Amino acid sequence: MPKLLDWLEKKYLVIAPIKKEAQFVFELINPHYGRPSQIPKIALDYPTTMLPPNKIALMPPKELMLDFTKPKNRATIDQLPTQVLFGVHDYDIQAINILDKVMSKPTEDFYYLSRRQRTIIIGIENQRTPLHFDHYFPFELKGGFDLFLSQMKGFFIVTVGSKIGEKLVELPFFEDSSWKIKRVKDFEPDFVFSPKTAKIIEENKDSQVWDKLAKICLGCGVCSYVCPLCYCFETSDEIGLDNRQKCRYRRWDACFLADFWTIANKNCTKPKLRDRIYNWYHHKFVRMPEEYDHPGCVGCGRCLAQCPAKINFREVLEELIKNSRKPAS
Amino acid sequence: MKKITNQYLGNRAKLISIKKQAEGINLYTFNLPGFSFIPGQFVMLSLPGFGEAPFAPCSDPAKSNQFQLSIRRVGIVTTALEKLQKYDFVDIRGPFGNGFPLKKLSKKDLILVAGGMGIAPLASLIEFLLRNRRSFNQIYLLYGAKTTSQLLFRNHYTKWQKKINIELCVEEKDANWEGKTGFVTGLCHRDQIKVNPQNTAVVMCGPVLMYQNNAEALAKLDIKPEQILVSMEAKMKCGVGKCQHCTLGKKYTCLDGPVFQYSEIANDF
Repeated sequence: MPKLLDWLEKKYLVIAPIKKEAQFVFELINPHYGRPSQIPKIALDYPTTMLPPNKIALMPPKELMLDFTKPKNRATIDQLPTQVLFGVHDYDIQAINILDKVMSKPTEDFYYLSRRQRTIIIGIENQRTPLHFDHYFPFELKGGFDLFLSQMKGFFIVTVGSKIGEKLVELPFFEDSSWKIKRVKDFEPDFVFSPKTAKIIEENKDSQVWDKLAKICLGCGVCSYVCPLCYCFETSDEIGLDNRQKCRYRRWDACFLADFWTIANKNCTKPKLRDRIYNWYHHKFVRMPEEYDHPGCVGCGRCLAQCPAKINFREVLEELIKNSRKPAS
Repeated sequence: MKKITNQYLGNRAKLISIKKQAEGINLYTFNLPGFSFIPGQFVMLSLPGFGEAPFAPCSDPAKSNQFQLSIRRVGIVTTALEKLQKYDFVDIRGPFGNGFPLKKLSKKDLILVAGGMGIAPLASLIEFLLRNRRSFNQIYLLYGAKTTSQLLFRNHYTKWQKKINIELCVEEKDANWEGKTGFVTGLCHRDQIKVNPQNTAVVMCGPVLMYQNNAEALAKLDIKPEQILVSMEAKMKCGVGKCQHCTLGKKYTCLDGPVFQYSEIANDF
């Protein structure tokens, strides 16, 4: 494994999980790639990371869209080198697969897709933690990765997911294995998201659940920032102090913020926090299944882990479903 | 590697005139070769270094390579825009959105309701209607503004009045005003509007509150919410269905709108 990483680091930009104080984060570990670097130790057995890998590698917090000082080539993103996203858990790969759809239809997002085309994804098997609820959204990864690693005692098993992956396993760091892969069929979770769940959320626009949430929610938007499938953005221009440099950037936004819904005349179209909270659930669990055949959630648990008001999004879903089973009184 | 077009890149349009329409409101005329639009669509106008904002053209859609925007100074972009000189450039993306369903409106009685700046896309629609006057039955324009000086496109009224009925009102009247005062809803009355309710379409553009009040007033004329089209003002940012700011229930104002059937979205306000 270290040899494979060495090779990748010489050739590509590598973004991998490392430990930072009490949390794990995906970070670019070789900014001076091509030259040997002092790499922080990569944490291959991390439980989960603070931010999802796609929000580091494919949709950074602040991204240059247009450089107005360059008349012909205003967008410079197509000159980016290839990057390797190393050590990605399966639910995060699934999130990237859904985002690929979101960013391709009905219109193409130039910046996301340009980065995506230049990204090699190497996945790694993970252990479930109490925060994960990815079994709510069952999926079988049918691609989205180039290689996928499963740790055994003393070695890794590798699954090839693409043509690039096929080329990579020809490198001398890999050898044939006598393992024959089969899968176990009978994995049945107790709760699974279904079109019925979506319907419950759609029918509960006026539910007290949102009012109760609005009383404890700080409306800070952290749940959106840490979500691998929250992709909304705001654009803003900046002028350099010399009054020459003029650039347009886009930044992550969050629909929990009143500003998100405020137009130029200061009119906010969703002034109530409960409506903004509902919008988040409505987008993820009603609109996204309709638009992209999958809810905007993979159960990574980051929103639960990072919410300063300790709101448990999983329990909110469960409460709604429980309430809907009660006979109408 | 597949080539991806960058939809966030605009085309340079040349400003060929600025005319003051009212205090803080200007009419900007731009030249942009190859540009054409349907009334009710919008463009994203950007001023490098200041930002980008959505506007609906207010000019005659038959004039190719050229369009006009009626813009009120409210934010950063619109303030910077006022400082531009003739022959300066702006960036234009679009046109985006559906625009008014012109074919569906033909052979019908039309009531156009405008509140404040909402007159802009309707002015463009009126130019289209005048050119194709024979395809439509009765046409009414009900237009309300805050003050008399804020009644826009005044130099067009004489031309418009020859072919359509215009009813105006202002909220705050002044010494020179002999017309009606109050909200535009007050113009929505059986005494003023002679239409066949079964074969009428209403097009509204203005603040959301106006839509709700007018829909109630129109119901008294036996006009149903399904016959009402509204143009929604929303925070369009990307224009291409990505940024999520302009969502309205399950709809995107930028892709599915900005023109909606009132009955489709009345619950999502």
